[in-house]
Amino acid sequence: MAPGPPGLSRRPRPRRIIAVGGGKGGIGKSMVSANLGVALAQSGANVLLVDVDLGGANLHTCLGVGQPSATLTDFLRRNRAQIEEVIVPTGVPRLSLIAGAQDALDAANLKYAQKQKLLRTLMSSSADYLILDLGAGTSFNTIDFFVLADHGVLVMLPEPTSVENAYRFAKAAFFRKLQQVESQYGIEDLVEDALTTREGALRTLHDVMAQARRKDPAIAERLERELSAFRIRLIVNQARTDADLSVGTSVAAAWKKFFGIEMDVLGAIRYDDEAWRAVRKRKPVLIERPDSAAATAIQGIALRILALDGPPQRSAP
Amino acid sequence: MKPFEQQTYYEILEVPVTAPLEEIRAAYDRLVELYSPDSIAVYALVDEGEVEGLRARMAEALEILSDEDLRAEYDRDLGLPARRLMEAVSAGGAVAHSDDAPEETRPEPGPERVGVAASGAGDQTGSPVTQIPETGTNGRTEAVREVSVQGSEGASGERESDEKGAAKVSQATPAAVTVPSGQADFRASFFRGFSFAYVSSSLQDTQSLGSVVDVPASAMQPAAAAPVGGSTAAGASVSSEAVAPAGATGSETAAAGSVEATPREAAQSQGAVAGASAAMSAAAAQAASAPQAISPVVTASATPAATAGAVPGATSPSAASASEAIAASGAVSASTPQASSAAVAASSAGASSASPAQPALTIASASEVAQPVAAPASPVASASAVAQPVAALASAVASASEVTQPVAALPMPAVASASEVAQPVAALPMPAVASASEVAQPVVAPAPAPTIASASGGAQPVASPPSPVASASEVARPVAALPMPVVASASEVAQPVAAPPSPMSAVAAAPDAAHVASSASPMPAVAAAPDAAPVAAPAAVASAAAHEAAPAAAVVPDTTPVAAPAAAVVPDTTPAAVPTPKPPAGATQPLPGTEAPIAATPAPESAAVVPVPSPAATEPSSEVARASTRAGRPLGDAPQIAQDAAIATAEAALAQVSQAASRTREPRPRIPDIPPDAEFNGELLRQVREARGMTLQQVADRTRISRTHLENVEADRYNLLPAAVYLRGILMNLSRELGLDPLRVSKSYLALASEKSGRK
Repeated sequence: MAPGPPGLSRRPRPRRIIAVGGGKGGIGKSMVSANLGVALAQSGANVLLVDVDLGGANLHTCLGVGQPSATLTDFLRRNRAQIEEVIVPTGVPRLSLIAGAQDALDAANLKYAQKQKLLRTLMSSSADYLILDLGAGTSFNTIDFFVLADHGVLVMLPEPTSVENAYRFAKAAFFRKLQQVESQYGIEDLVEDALTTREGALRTLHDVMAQARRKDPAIAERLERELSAFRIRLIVNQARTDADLSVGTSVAAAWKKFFGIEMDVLGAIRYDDEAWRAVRKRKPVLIERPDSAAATAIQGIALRILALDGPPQRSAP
Repeated sequence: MKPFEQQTYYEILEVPVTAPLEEIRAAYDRLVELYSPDSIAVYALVDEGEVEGLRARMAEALEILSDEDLRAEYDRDLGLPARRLMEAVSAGGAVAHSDDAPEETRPEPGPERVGVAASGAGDQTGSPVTQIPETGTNGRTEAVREVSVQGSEGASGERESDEKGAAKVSQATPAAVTVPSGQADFRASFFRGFSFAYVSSSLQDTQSLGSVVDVPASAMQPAAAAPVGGSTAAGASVSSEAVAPAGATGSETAAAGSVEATPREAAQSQGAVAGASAAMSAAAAQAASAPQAISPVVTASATPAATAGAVPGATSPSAASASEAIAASGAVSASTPQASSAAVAASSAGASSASPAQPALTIASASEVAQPVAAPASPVASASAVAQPVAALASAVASASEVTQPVAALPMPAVASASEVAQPVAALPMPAVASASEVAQPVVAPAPAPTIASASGGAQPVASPPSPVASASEVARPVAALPMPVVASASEVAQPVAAPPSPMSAVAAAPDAAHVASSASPMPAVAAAPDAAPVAAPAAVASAAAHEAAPAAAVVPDTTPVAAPAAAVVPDTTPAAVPTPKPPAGATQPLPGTEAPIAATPAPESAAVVPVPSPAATEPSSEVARASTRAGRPLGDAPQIAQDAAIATAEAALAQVSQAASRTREPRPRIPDIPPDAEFNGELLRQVREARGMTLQQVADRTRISRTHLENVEADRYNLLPAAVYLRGILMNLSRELGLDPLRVSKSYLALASEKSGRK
C-alpha cells in the first residue's frame, strides 16, 4: 500500500489483481494460480490467493492446505465471519489463501448482493498481488471477476477445444466490459444487440466499434481506448510440441488481426510429468520440484508479470 | 482497425512498405499458414468466411506486390514515393523527391491520354479542370477526356468544355488524394487505358474510380485531347482535329460539368463529345452557350451510352459543330443509349449537311452521348445545317444545344436566333429543361422531350416552362421506347407548356420547339404552331429539328428526314389536339391532349396543318421505326414524320398506362367455395391459404404464429400440436388471416383433433 501524505488515510487496495481464467475446465487454472502465487511470494511480494471457483474450489488442494475453520460462504452469507477469519496461511511465506473448501453446496449460486460484498472485500485487501482462481465457463460470476483484474490471464491448452473456449471467454469478457461502460458511452443498444447474437453470427468487436463510431465518433474513440487498455494475457499450458509452444503467439496474432485488440503472451508451460505428480501429492510444483520444466516456466511467467508491473512498492506486510 | 478491404496490401501482409520481395514472400507464407482453414489459431475465432476473405486478400497482395511493375503502380496509387527512393530514404540516403517520381509516372499510364493531350492541348483551362469535383465513372478516361477537351477548347465552347473537363477531371482531383481504397485504386489503374465504353453507371463505382484518377489536373491538362479509352481512335482524331473546336466543346463540357458536380458519364462523354465538337467547329461560341445548357443536362443524364457516344463524336472533327450540338443535346437530355444514337444520327445528319460524313459521325456520336439532348440538338443542328452551310451548321449546332439548353445563348445567326427565341427565358427554362431532362432521363423519349421542352420553355417568356417542361418530359417519358421522343416531346412540351400558360404562349412554345431550328420569330403567335406545317421552310426546319430529336434514337444520317419528321410531328400534334377534347394531363394523351389546348387556340391554320400531317400520322410507328433507315425524305414530309412520331409516342404511352391499370385491377384471388358443413381439417386450411395466394411464411409473419405450428396444423399432426387452449387461439388467428369464420374453423378443427387423439 503506497503511503499517502501524512494525515491522510488511504484506502488499502491490492496493488495488482490477477485473475486466472480460461473458459474450459481442467486446463490447469488452479495449478497455475497456486504456483504463480508461490513464485510471486518467493520474489518478495505479498500475495493473497482467492478461490472464486465457487462451486468447484480446488486451490486449497493444489497448495496442500487443510480444512479452514471458516470458508468464503461463511463470510458471505452468515456474516458471521470477518474476512480475516477466512484467510488461511499456506505454509509459504507471504502467501495467504481464501479457500472454498467444504463450502456450502450451493455456494456457486451467489446472490448479487453477496457478489458485491465479495468484490468489495477483495478490493480492500492490502496484498501486493491478489490472485483470483476463476472457475470454468463464462457466467457472470466468473467473467465479472475477470473484468476487474489488472492482469486477466487466460490459460489455454494447445487444443482446439481449449482455444475455442478461450476465444469465447475473451469475447464474453470484452462484451461484459462493454456492458459495464455502456451507460457511460450510451451504447446500450449496440452492446445488447451484440451480446444476444449467436457467437458465430456475432460480428466482431470491430463491428460494434464501427457501429459506435457511426453513432458518435468521439465516444467510439474513448471506447476504443478503454477496450485496448483491457489486454488479456495468455498462458499456454501443457505444450507438447514445438508448434504448441507457438500457439500462444498465433492466437494473439489472429486476435489482433481480426479484432484489432492486443493480447500478451506471458509464456508457454511445457507438458511436465512433474506437474501432475505434484498435484497428486497436493503440493505446489514450485516447492516440490523447483527445477522442473513446469516450475521454470511458471517462474518465467512470474518474472514477466513483475516486469510488466514495474518495481514493486514496499507495502506493509 | 480497418476492415481488410480498406487495409493496404502492406498492412495485410504485415510488412513495411519498403520490404523486399523475399520478406514479402516470407510474410505471406507465414500468414497463409497461420490463417489456413485448419489452423488452430483461428478455430472458432470468427466466421470462416472472414478468414477466407483474409486469405483471398493476402493472395491478392502477394500477387500484386511480387510483380515489380504492379507494385510500383500500387505504390503510386497509394501515394508512396518510388520504392528506390523510399529505400534510399530509409537507408538514410538523400532526400527523396518523392513528388517527382509519382508525378512523372502518373501521366504515363494513359498513352492515349498523353496523345490526346498533345493533340488537344489547346488552351488549358486549368482552373476549370480542377474546379469541378465531378467524379466520372471512368475516372481516368474521363479525366483525360476532360483535360483534352479543355485543352482543345478554343472558342466559346471553352467554358463548357472546361466544365465538362473539370467535371471529369474532378475525378482526377480526388485521385490526387493518396488515400487508398487501395484495391479500388489499383484496379482502377488498370482501366486507365480502357475505352470509356467501360463506364460504370453507379455513383459508388464512380466515386471509387474517381479516386483512382490520380492524374492531377495539371498533368491532365496537356492531355486535353480526346477522351481516353476505347474511342482512342476517335479521341486521337478528335484531338488531332481542331484543338480549338475541341476546346470549345470541352469548355462547354466543363461548364456543364461545373454545373453538375456529380460524376456523370454522360457529362463525360458529352464533354468528350463536346470537346470533339468544339474542336470541330471553330465557331464554338455557340457551343459555349450550349455548354451551359448542356451542363444541367449533363448532370441530368449520365449514361455510359452518352460516353460512348461522345467518343465517337469526338472522333469526327469536322462534325465539330455537330458534336457541339450533340454535346449540348447530350448534356441536356438524359442520356440514353437510344437517345445518343439518335443524337448521333442527328448530329451526323447535321454534320453531313455541314460537311462530309465525318462531322456527321461526330455529331452522331455526340448525339448518342447526349442522347436526349442530342436529339433536339441534332434536329436543330440539322435544321440549321440544312438551312445554312458550314457557318450555319455551327450555329445550328449551337442553336441545337441552345434549344436543349435554355441557358444556351447562342449568338449565332438564324439558328442562334431560333435558339434565342427559345431562350428568351433561357434562365427559367434551364431548370425546366434540367428537370425535364432528369425526368425524361430514364427513357429515350424523354430525352428529346426535355430538349424540346426547354426549347418551348425558352420560347415562353412566361416562367411556366419549368413545370410544363417537366410535365412534358414526364409525358414523354411513358413513351420511352419511341425513338420519336424528340418529336413527341416537342409536341408534348408544347402541349404541357401550353396548357398552363396562355394558349398563345403554349402555341408559341410548341411551334417554337419546332421552330427551334428555324429562327422562328419569338412572337408567340399562334401561327407558330400552325405555322410549323404551313410554313414550309420554318416548319421544315422546326420539324426537322423536332424530328431530329425524335429520330435521334435512330441514327438518321439525313438531316432532312429529321427535319421533316419534326415538322410533321409538330403539326401533327396540333391537329391531333384539335379533334380530341382538352386532355387532362394524362400521359396517355400526351400529344393529342396537350395539343388540344394548343390546337384550340391556334387558328384554323393548324387545322390546315393537321390534315397535312394526318396522313403522315398514319404511319407514325413505322416512321419512327424507320427513322434510322429513313433517308432522303423530302423536307415536306417533316410534318408527317413529326405526327407519326407523336402518335407513336402517344400510343406507347397509352399502352403503358392501360397495362398498369389492368394490373391493378386484378381481383383478389377467391377462395374455393366451402360447403357449410365442411370439416375444417389441415388440408382444407391449406387449400384456402393457397387459394388466397399466401405462403406459409407470410401467414406466419402476419399472425405471429410460429411456422412450425402452422405446418403441423396444416398437416394434421395433432399429436404435435399444443394444448387445446393454445390451439384454439392459433386456429382463430389463422382463420381470420385466411378470411374464414374463426369460431367455425376452430370448433371444427378442435373436434377433429380431439377425436383423432381420443382414438389413440
